[in-house]
Amino acid sequence: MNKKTLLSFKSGLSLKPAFAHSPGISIKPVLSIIVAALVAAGCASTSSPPPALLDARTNVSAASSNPNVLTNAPLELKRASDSLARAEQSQIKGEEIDVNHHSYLASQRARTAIAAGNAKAAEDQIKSAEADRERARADASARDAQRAQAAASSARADARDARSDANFQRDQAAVAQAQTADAQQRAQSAQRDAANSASDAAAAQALAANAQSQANAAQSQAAASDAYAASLSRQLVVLEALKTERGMVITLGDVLFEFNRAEVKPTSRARMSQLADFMKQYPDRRVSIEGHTDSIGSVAANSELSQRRADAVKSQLVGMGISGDRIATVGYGKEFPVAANNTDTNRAINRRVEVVISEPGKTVRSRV
Amino acid sequence: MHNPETDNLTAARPFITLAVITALAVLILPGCASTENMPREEMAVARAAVDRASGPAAAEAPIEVSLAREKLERANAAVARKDYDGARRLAEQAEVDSNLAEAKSHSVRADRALGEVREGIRQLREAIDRRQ
Repeated sequence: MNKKTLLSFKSGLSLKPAFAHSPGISIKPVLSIIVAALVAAGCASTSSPPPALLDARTNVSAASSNPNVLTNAPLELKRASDSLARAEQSQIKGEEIDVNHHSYLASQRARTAIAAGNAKAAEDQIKSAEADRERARADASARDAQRAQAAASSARADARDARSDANFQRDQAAVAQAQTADAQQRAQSAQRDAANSASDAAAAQALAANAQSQANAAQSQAAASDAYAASLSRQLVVLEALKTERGMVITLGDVLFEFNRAEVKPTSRARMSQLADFMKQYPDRRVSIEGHTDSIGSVAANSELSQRRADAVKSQLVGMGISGDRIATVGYGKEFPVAANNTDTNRAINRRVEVVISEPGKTVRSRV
Repeated sequence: MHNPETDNLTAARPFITLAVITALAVLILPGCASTENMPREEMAVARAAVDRASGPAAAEAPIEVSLAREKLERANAAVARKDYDGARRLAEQAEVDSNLAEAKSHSVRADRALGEVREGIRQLREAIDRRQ
């Protein structure tokens, strides 16, 4: 619009001389001529536009290129443009007062248009900003709600976790308790087993020891028995003992005694010593010393003689340290000859003392 | 803002101009003036505009407002000495000055309000951001 007015202004300026020389074509040039003639001859020079008009052009141009004005204050811009057009016309006409006046109006209206356009734009922005603010508030409250929800759900999750932790720990505690109880039981049973096995072991050991000692004892007993038997048989052999149904019998022949005497010959002492040793060695054995005679003499004399001979042997043994309790004596006289008394040799055999050795711990049966 | 009376006035301007020029041509030389040419409408419009601008707008556009008042007074003075052309021009200028004062005030207030709203939003966003 400004360019158009500028164009018309320029063409008006250039056409001006043409009007002056061409008589009475249109009303405006005619009026101009009349005014020019009437007001004053040197009144108006129309050649250079006054500052007010220049200002008006600038202001209207600025307003018309302002998008806010075009959108929000088109009517005020129209008024400014109209005023500028009036100013340009007045300028063409050389009406200085009107040029200045309309230029002023155009400038103020252009400024007004700009201010109004700006105000409207600001108001629109306020509206959209308020909408933004409401959106932001809505966002904020939505976020608050989300945060609260998230916090609530996280709290719920925490609670769930805590619950499951507690359950887990409870389970673990129960398991641990069960394990502990089991372990305790096992420990007790192991202790019992251990005690049992210990006592078993001790018992077994004791048994073993016992058995061993029994075995040892048996062995030593056996060895002793062997030794005993060996020694016994050896000594009995030395004593020329004869095994009879009443026990072992040692015959101390008449060689031990002088005829009709009861004293043991000193030469027989070795035999007696052997017997005493035997009796010392086997203290659980008893002996029965039995005196016998030949058939010569009276029964009573022979009986008395045989008794004396038995006693003599006994006293000899006691003299050698053997207890008299273990020695029984009997005089059988001529009652039990071992040979016929028809020769001296046989009669010598019958004159004898027999020592019968008992079984251990027993006494010797008497002859019937 | 749009005034039908001023529109009518604008539409009638060529004729008024013609009449004025004729009047000038006919009457100026004898030196007499007539109340027929008194710019009653312009004066009324200017008075209303100045009244409107003198209210809240005075704070934001004091120069324009005082200018408008002064011009209205001068217009009254011009009417009093029967300088109706001068009165009309002054009235018209008082009107546009008032309108400009009003628009400026409106614009300044809108800008200020916009700034406040933006600051409020900024603070709100900060507060929201801080809360996050």
